[in-house]
Parts: sequence; C-alpha cells; structure tokens
Amino acid sequence: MGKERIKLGREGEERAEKFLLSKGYKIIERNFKTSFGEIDLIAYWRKVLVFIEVRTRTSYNFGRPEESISEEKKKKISRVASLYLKAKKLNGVDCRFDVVALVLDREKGVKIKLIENAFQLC
Amino acid sequence: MLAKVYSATIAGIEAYPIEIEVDVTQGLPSFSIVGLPDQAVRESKDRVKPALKNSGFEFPVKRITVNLAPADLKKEGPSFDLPIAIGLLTATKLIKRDRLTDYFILGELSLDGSLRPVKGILPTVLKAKGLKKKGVILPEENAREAALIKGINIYPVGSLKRVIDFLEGRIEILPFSLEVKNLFKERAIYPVDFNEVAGQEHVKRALEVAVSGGHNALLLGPPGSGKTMLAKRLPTILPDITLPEALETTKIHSIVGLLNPKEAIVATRPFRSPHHTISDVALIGGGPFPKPGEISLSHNGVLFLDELAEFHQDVLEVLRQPLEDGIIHISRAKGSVSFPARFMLVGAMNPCPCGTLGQQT
Ligand SMILES: Nc1ncnc2c1ncn2[C@@H]1O[C@H](COP(=O)(O)OP(=O)(O)O)[C@@H](O)[C@H]1O
Ligand SMILES: [Mg+2]
Repeated sequence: MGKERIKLGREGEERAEKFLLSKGYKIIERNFKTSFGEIDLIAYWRKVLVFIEVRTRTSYNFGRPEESISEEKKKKISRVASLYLKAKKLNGVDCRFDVVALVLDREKGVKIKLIENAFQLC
Repeated sequence: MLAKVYSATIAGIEAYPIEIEVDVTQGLPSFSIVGLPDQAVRESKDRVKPALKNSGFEFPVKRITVNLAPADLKKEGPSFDLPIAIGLLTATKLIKRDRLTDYFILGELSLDGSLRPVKGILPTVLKAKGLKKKGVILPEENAREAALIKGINIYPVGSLKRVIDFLEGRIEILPFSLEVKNLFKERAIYPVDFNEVAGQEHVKRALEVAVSGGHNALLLGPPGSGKTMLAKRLPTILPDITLPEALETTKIHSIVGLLNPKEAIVATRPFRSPHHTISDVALIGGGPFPKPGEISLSHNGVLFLDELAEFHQDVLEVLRQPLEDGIIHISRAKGSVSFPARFMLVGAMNPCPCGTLGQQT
C-alpha cells in the first residue's frame, strides 16, 4: 500500500469518526486488529453494537466507495467481529455492520454517506 | 424468540408435514436456513427480505435461524417463502402467534409481497385434512385445485399483507369452495372423437376389443394410414374416468406442475405421447427429488409411443415392470418412492424404414 493511500485512509477514518459522533455514535475501538484482519471503528449506537468499515475514495471515477467492499472483505470483517464478541464476552447484544463511504475530492469537496446495516454476517 | 409455522413438502406422491421453526436472537445479523433445503429453499432468503420490506415491515437486524423439521427429509421448492416470512414476523412479535397451529401455510413470494402459485397442492391439502388442521392458507391461483378436497377450509390469499391481516383477525376470508361434481362434468370433454376416423373398420374393431379387455396395442402401417390419429382418439372410447381416478391422476400432474390452475382437475383420461428421444428417467420417473415420469402422467389413460422402433432399447426395457405391476418403485438411498402407473400402452410403427413394405409402388 502506498503512503498516499494510507494517508487517505487515515483522513477518511478521522472524518468518518467525527461524522458518526454527530450522528450519536459512541466510538469504543479504533482499528481493532487481529491476525485475520481489522475493523476500522467499533461503536455503540444506542444499545446496538456497530462494526464500521470506512471506505475512502478520491473521486467517483472508480465507482461508488461502498461498492468496493468485496465478499472477501465482508467475510474478514465478519470473522473479526465474531472474535471481538467472544473476546469481550458480549453475548446477547444487538449488532450490525455499517459502512461509511467517503469521497475526498480535492475540487468538489467531501461527501459522506452512512449505510446502516450494510451487510450481514458471512 | 421462537416461532413455529406449519406447512408440507412433497416426497414421491405424498405430502409430509414440515414444521418451520424461526429463531430470532441478538448477535451479528445473519439469516440461515437449515434442515436439508434445496437451492430454491435457500434462495427463499432473497425473496422474503424484499417481500417483507415491500409489505411495510422492517426486516429484523438480528441473528435469524430457520429450521425445517424433520431434518432428514429433503425440502424442495419455493413454497416455504410464505411460512418463513410469517415465522419471522411472529418471532419478532410483529404478529401474534396464537392462530398459527391451526393452519398449513404455503406459497412463493414475489419481491413485491404478492403470492405465486406452487406445485403439489392436492396432496398437501389431503395431508392437512388428515392432521385435522382447521385450514390451508395458500395462493389464490391454487384455490380451485385445493377445493377439490372437501372437509377442510381453503383460504386463498393474494399477498403477504393479506395473510397477516387474516392471522391477526383484522379481515375475514371466506373459505373457498366449489362444486367438484359440476367442475368435473364441465371439464370432461375431449377435443377429438373416435368417430372422426373414417373406414378402417377392422382397426377400429381391434382397438375396441383392446380397450374393452384392458389390453395394450401396437399399430403397424405405412405413413399416413391414420395410426397417430387413431391413438389420439383412444381415450374417448375408454370408459369415462371416475372422480376418484381423476383425483389420482390430478395429484400426479399437480406434483410436476403440469396442472393448469384454471382447470384445477384432470377430468379426461390422459393421453401422453413422449418423443422417441426420451430418457428412461423422464419415461418412468426418478431424479434427485424423484418425480413421476410419463408412465405415471398417463396413469388411468393412454401412453402412446409413436415410432416405437426409434425408442432406445433400454428405455423400452424399463417399461416391463410397471406394465406388469401398474406401479413403479424408485429406490433411493433413503427408502423408496412409488408412483401409480396403470396405463394402456399403444405403440405405432412403420413396417420397414421406408414405410411401404408390402405395398405396390
Ligand atoms: N381413417 C381416416 N379417417 C380420417 N382421416 C384420416 C384417416 N386416416 C388418415 N387420415 C388423415 O391423414 C392424416 C395423417 O394420418 P396420421 O394419423 O398422421 O398417419 P400415421 O400416423 O399413420 O402416419 C391424419 O391427420 C388425418 O387427417
Ligand atoms: Mg404418425
């Protein structure tokens, strides 16, 4: 991964976090890592535990950012989420997967979209 | 919370009751169907979800498990869409559960929440009656076929919304009924008649003897001599089909989806004439979910093998046992299924490849 992309990713995650705070999310983890992969943000929205994937693009040229989540990625996030629940002994909580899609276009400005319950465990 | 809905699946020619258990719990959102579902049952997820949304319900963001019990029976087809949707709504307490045990519920859902007809209604309704259910809730287009069975209430519904309103007691649905005898009489008409065959007195006589004595027949003659014409008209000189016979044949046609919902009953003796390229499975029945073949579709009627000599040898061989027994047994790793196959076999062929052997040319 090039430096540019990492920087872009960081900026996206920061903006996403601010956006989520404004929507009433309480962030409890950032970049939760396991050997399988990581989850960008974990938060509570009311009593629902939300696993959040942040997708950042610089323009629409390659399609919408939310379309870039592959089945592979969903599986990874699913596994990490399951592990997280086990590690924290969190059974009996409502959960869901959200996606925050950002477009950071230098000319047209920033666009943020939240997709609640974007996909299911897979 | 756990909800239970009742329905049936077809194996062989019989319906078997199926309990659809829907469990909705907290956890990572998922939707899984277990209990030997086939592809169509598994795809049910992708129909139930939009159907619920388009009927004005939120699809629950929960861990959803659907179990089709008993687990050792293969479940086939899209008819579980409706009971799964109802189970989901009940498990999430969007509808009350108290009336669910009284009914068999079945139907395929369209994405917009309306219902599509399904196969195998007749055996399913018979089973519901045997189990003393109060009624069967099914797609409107299946109502006529279902109403062939008396002594159980048939509730035709057009959409998921209607089913819910009915189960919640918000609307009344009058049980559907029809005069089976009248329908049977109305439908007992052949488009052709044996008396359209001119001359050929010796052939007609021979066929009358065959029909009276319950024999099979082979028609041998040059092209254009009327073999196909005669065979097609044989059902019209067989004794009229009785209502019990008609119901038996209807059952078989219903299972394979050959029954026209408008006609609802096979009221004439069936005439089946498969092409000579037919496989043995298509002729006698079989497949991974054993289905009746042509010999069972012609049960109580005529099976006509035109150009008999062109059929594969091994295809003709498999006819021996059912011809003798009037029933076909298909063995599977798990037990065997039987389909009735009592039919009059009529063959036709030319006397030689050019068809004109023994004629002046
Ligand atoms: N005895 C008959 N009476 C009336 N029409 C006949 C007769 N025999 C033959 N035909 C006519 O000839 C056509 C061809 O006959 P068909 O039954 O196809 O012959 P085959 O099967 O022996 O080749 C029929 O559709 C029918 O119109
Ligand atoms: Mg012919």
